[in-house]
Amino acid sequence: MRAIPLVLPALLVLSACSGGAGADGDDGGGGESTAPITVQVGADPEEAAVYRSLVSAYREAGGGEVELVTVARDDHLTRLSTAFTSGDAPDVFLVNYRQYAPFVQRGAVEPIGPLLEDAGVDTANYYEEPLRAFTYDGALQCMPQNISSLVVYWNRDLFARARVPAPTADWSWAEFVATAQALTGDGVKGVGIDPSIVRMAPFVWSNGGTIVDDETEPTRTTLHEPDARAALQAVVDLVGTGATPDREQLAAQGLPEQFMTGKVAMFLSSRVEVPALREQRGLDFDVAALPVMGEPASVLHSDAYCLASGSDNAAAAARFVAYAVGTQGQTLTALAGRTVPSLRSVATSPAFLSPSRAPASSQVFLDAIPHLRHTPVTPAWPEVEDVIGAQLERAFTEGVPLDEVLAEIRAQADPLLAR
Amino acid sequence: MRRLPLAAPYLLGSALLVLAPLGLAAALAFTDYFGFRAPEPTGTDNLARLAGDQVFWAAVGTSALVAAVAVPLRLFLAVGAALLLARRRGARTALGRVAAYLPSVVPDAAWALLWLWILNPLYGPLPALLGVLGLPDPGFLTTPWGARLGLVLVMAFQVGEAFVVALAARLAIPSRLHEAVAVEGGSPWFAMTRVTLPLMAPVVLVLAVRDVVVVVQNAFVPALLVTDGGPVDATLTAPLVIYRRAFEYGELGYASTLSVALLVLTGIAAAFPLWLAARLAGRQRVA
Amino acid sequence: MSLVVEGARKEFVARRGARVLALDGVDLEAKPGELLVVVGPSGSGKSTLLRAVAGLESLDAGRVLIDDRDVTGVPAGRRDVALVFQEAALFPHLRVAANIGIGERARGTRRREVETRVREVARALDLEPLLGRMPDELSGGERQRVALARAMVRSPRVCLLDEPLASVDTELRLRMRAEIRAVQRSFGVPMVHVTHDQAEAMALGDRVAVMAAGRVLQCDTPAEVYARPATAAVARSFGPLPMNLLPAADGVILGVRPERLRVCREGRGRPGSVVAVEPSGEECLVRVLPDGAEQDLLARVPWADAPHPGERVVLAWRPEDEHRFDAATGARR
Repeated sequence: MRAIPLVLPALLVLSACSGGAGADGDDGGGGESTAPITVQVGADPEEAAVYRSLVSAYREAGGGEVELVTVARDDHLTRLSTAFTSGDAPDVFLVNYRQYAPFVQRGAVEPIGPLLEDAGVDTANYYEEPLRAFTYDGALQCMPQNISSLVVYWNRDLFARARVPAPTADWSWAEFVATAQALTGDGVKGVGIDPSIVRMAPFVWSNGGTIVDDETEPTRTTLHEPDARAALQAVVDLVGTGATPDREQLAAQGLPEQFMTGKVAMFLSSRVEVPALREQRGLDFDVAALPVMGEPASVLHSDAYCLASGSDNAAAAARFVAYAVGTQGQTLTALAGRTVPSLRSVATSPAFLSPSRAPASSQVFLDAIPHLRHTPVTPAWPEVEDVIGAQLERAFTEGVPLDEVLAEIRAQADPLLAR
Repeated sequence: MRRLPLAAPYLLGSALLVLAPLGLAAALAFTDYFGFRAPEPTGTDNLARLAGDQVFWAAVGTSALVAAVAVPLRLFLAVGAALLLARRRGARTALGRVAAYLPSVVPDAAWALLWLWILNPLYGPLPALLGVLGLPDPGFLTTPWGARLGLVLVMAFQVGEAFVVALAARLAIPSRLHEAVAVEGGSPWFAMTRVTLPLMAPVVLVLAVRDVVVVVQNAFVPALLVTDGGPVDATLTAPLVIYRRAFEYGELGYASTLSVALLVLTGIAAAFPLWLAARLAGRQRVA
Repeated sequence: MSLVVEGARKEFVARRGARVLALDGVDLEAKPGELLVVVGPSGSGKSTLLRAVAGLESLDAGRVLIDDRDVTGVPAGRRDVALVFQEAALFPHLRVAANIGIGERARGTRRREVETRVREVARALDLEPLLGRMPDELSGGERQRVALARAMVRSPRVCLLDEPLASVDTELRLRMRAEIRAVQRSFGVPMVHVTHDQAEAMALGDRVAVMAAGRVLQCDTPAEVYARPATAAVARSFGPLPMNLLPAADGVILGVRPERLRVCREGRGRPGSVVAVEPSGEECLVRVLPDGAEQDLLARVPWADAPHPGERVVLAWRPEDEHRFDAATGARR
């Protein structure tokens, strides 16, 4: 179900910012490259602004011309597929680890490792989890820009109004449910959680369960097994308390928009929401760790820069990626709020951690790193996610019994993994 | 033979623009193709997969269901508007005709987004209106049947072309035929059912055939933008499945298989009005 | 069964607000069993009159009475009149039998009964072999006969015919005239037959109403209208050829029909010269310009007596063939 976006999606490119406008005469370090490279990112308007500033900073640093193509998040993959098919692929594209496997498997990605080494990037300076997620067939395929994870966004004003104490670092699921219930009322719902596997996975893991039989080479889903099932049941029970938006509210407006307008007091998402939330006037928000069912756990959210295998400008493209994931690039995107830097030195710097700009508790993202796990990297995964998401939606909003839904997930998703 | 030179540019054009891509799609239907490397022929593997593709067949069912409601509704609105607005000239008739055509001038995407607002369960005018009137709200974006109904509504009013054709067909009926019915004491209902509609039937039939194709194919834009196939795949129509297969999962070869299958099925569905008309035609001449 | 129209007025607003007076106080009566022909040029209001009687057109003033019942405000379907349209107006999607029976079906008569009546009327009009055909398989004459049958099947109080023979070729027209006459006789229905063809009016009508500019100028038997036209306008419009009119003294216009005007080589009469000679079957139409006149006169003479163009001739007529009209009003004196 698509909720009403505050920003119209459409099948259009929101903006195609050409970096070629500037005749700055700046002919610094990267002087040998002349042809501009094309970079495509899927981004909402506030995020798009972040990437535009990154590109202009690169140009000012003498990096050369970059043509930035920003596409609405929902249309990013479609645009990429069509661009590759029509032979008009961007030189560089940003893609989530949950979605890049099909591109690698089908030969669209040039393994980035050696080229980055030439450009002077030492992967030892970066967090390992995202690098592992982007390693496929034994080689680093794409270079991660961030190590985000699932957290709880919460609205300070609504907490204060309901006289509910702020979330603590190791709060339990029961405390989380009680908090959500206490916040519910007076036109406000306690918490919003999308019915998707990336939202559910950390709770499954926290409860000692798994989502697939083998994380590197999955052959079937395991959500029906007792620990996983119990975690999902806990979420279904939370929905049953009425502390989450009902289906009319979900259909009327997306969760981030409901959070921005004070209709839900908490919602679960990754770092990606920050630029837009900062733009919302009068919204006082922070982030908190996910509640714990058994062991602490969270799920990796990470995007990486991939090089298209057919690129004529592979070296220039790698130089841009090196800049984007380097200290300057990472500082810039961290300051804008968009990323949890994958470069350790920037992640622990004030650029990311400074409490002067919301969210004050960015440390939460770094604290989650030891418990991070990621969903399987396999070509069938995007479709498996869609199947699971559609079924979870039935359990969450249609009131279909969980076991029926789990049986349906096995029936539909397992053949996709087995293929 | 003399007609050939005149028709040649048209035939050439349709060969280049229609038949060649169609042939290409048919060829791709028997390959694995992901857009990055050359297509790999896989024989009849895709057909076997098609036969067992429950998602696709469920979507075909959804498309058929939506078409079964939307096509008659669209024809009813187009022909009804044509009958109402055929009567006399004047500012009101002109205004009515413009109003009937207007929805078709709006781009599909803009129209779909407009309806996304109209149907919004909390902020949309239609659920609000139903509430004021004390009528039950079917849950246009929230329940499976409500969403299907919403999808039908989005498509129901974009009937400008059909309206214009139906209006022309209505105006082509000589007025003395209706005067003859009036003098004979026939009611307006008798005139409409025994004279007007039978005389418009051949045109309405062509419209019906066309509309089956239009609805099956056009169900794509509102299904993508208004309901995104949901809730829980209730509005996952066949074109949307093909779109996802091709552009979200990148399986262009198998998506071609699905496209060709949908084309064949649409052809069969479009023949249904023809069959229906042939059955009706035998009966009405004597009545 | 009879029809009376009293003081019928109808005004149309044409384009750009111009007003056209289609009926300007028309009085008319069709007596029981009578075939009344309304004749006049196009635009004279005869079709409007017919449509007003049928109820397809409302009147601004005046009344329509059918069998002494005032039907002025009654809708067309309840006046119990039949109307035969120009070009038949058959329903192209229905077989002949269904076309004939459609009125009965419209009025809700049972199918079985409709079939019987259709068969009866079809037998009377010799249409039985055609009952299973579609209209586009019929000739022009057959189509008109089907239209007549459709009008007769209900035994209407009045039958109206709107130029039914206008689009039929000459030979057929003559046959159809006889057919219409026969139908009218056998069904005994008063008929009002509208035409612009005065020959048809003369041949068909028990009485003829001559219309011009929304008025009935004269209504009488064809013989009487021919012999004693009520106005100069009737004299010009009714008859095989328009009557010759010559201005005379004392505000009088003299009229002589071309059939009665004699063209002599010599003798008493008005001298003049031949302007044109036009063959017309057995006879010739001769145009003569009398000396000192501005308007030439038309005469019908046998071939043998035909003069040559330019020849000097003398025009003569018998006193009893002379009509006299008031120059100011056009009325007969």
